[in-house]
Amino acid sequence: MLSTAPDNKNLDTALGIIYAAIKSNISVYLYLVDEGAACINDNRVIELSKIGLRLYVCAYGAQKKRIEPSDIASFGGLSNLSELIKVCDRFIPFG
Amino acid sequence: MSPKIIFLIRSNPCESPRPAEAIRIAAGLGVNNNTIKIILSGDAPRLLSADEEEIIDLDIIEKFLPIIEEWNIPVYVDKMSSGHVHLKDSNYKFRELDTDEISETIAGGHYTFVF
Repeated sequence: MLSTAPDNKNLDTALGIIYAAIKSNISVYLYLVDEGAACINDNRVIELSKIGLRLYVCAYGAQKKRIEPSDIASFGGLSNLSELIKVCDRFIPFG
Repeated sequence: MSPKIIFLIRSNPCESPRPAEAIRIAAGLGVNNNTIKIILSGDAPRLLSADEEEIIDLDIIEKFLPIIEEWNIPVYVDKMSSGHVHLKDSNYKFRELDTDEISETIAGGHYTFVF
C-alpha cells in the first residue's frame, strides 16, 4: 500500500521492492490510496503493470485527485484493500 | 485471525487532508473485521478538538469519527503531542498514552499505517 504523493521517496522504495519481487516470480499487488493515487500516472508504475504488477487505486482518492479510470488498474473501495491485507503473505504499508 | 492495524496519524489536520483520509480509511477497514487502533501524535490530536474551524475535510472527520466511536475503535492521543492542548472540550472519546504505551501499542500491531 502506498499513501504518499509521487514526489515522496516512498515511491522509489516501493518500486524497487516491487521490481525485485516480480523478478523473483512473486505476485505483487499495489494499492494506491490517498495522495498515492496520483502515482498511477508515474511511468515506472505503468511499466511495472506491464510485467505483472497488479494495480489497485482507491476510487475515492482518484476522484479527489481527478484521476480518470484506466485499464491498467482496478479502481475500487477499501474492501479491496482489506482483502489484500488478509490474503497477502507479506503486506507492506508505505505512508 | 484478523490483522491488527495501527493508524499512526501525525500530520496537522489544519494543513493537510491526510488525517481526515486516515480516519476515513480506518473506518473503512474497521467494517471488515480488522482490528483497528488509532494513535494521534504531533498536531493530529487537533482533529478531535471542538473548536477547530480550519481543519481540512472537517466533513469527512465529522462523518467518520462517530462511526469509529460507535464501533469501539480505540483512539489514543500522545500525551506529549503539541496538538494535545486543544482537547479540553473535545466531544470525542480518547485515551492518553505516554511514549512507552505508544511503543507497546505499535509493537502489538501487525501493520502500522502512517499518515
